[in-house]
Amino acid sequence: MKTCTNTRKSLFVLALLTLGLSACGTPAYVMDTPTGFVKYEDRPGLSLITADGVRLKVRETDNKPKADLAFWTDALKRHLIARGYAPKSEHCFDTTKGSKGCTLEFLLPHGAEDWVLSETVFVVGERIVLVEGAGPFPLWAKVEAGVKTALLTFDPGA
Amino acid sequence: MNHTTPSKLLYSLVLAALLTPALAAADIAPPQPEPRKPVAAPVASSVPVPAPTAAPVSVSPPTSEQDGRQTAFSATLILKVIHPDEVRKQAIAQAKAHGGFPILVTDNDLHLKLPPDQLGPMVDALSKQGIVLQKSLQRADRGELIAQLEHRLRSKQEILERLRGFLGDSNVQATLRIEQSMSQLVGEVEALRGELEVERASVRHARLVVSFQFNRQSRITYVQSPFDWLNTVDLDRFLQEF
Repeated sequence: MKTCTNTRKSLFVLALLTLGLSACGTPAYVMDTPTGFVKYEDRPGLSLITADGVRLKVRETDNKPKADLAFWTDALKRHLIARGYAPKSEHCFDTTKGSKGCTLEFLLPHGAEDWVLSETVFVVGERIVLVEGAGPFPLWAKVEAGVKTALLTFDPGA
Repeated sequence: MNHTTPSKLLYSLVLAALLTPALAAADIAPPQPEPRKPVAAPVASSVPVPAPTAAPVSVSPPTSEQDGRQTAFSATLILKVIHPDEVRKQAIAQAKAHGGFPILVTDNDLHLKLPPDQLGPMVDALSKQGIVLQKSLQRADRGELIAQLEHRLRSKQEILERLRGFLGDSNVQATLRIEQSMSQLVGEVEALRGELEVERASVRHARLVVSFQFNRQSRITYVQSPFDWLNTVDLDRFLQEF
């Protein structure tokens, strides 16, 4: 009986630890939901989508080799242009929380349509946080302003 | 001997009957009446045989020239706009207002012919309507080619005139050979006139090709970046992992 109780306690602690670790692994990104988007509440991180399929998602990667925002923005732009992506726009901004970010937008063929791929880069210490968005050009154009406004409220987490 | 002359006459008549509709179909001007010579003419030439001829061609330079040169201008624009229909309508209206006209209109493409001096303003106006993904301007000097064509045309017309002069003094056999040569020459003259007109038209009007679709002109390729995470930035990956 006692062994059984101990086992249950151990399992409970393990579950808590697992939850804690997974919470540590995915920082709590905060951003106002742009008009027309809904948020996937059950997914880790931040994923949003519109009724007509324009998508936004946040992911992050290691800042290796360690570099600043200007470096990574430039590298990203050069790489995608080399791949054949057509640069559409570029602008850098400060969020309301004081984070610096840069948004690069590209056009590229996807099936029979031209799509927009938007990459917003934040460099936070050892992390690079990317807010990625994509959609067919005319659909992206409808939500573009809203996404831009929402990005001003983005918090890449500690 | 007596039966030879009527047969020649009959032959000439048949030849004339055969050539007349063919020349009319080729939109060729009727032969100018030539003064008869007082000398005794052969029987065959007594029947007016319509000689193949080509309408005289103006060799004056086209109206549109840049710096005294005959330059053909063309421009290509890949433009992303939210409402291509509206932009297309505006562009066609603007082109028509300035002496231009559309030559190809599809959902994704618009080809316009414009007066050369309207090409730049039209490209600028369209560029303001959306995102310019690609813009290029080409100019080609057509002066040399046009001069060559004009020279060749003039030579052939002169030969044609000389051949026509021989018709009056020729017998049936010679007339037939001359007719054959003249028919061939008329074909060549007409072909040259067409070629010359095409070249002149390319100088008279600049060509603007507008594409509202990017996908046909571009291909995404794989390029390895020295930074690992950059290799993961990709639309297909994004859509798959979303």
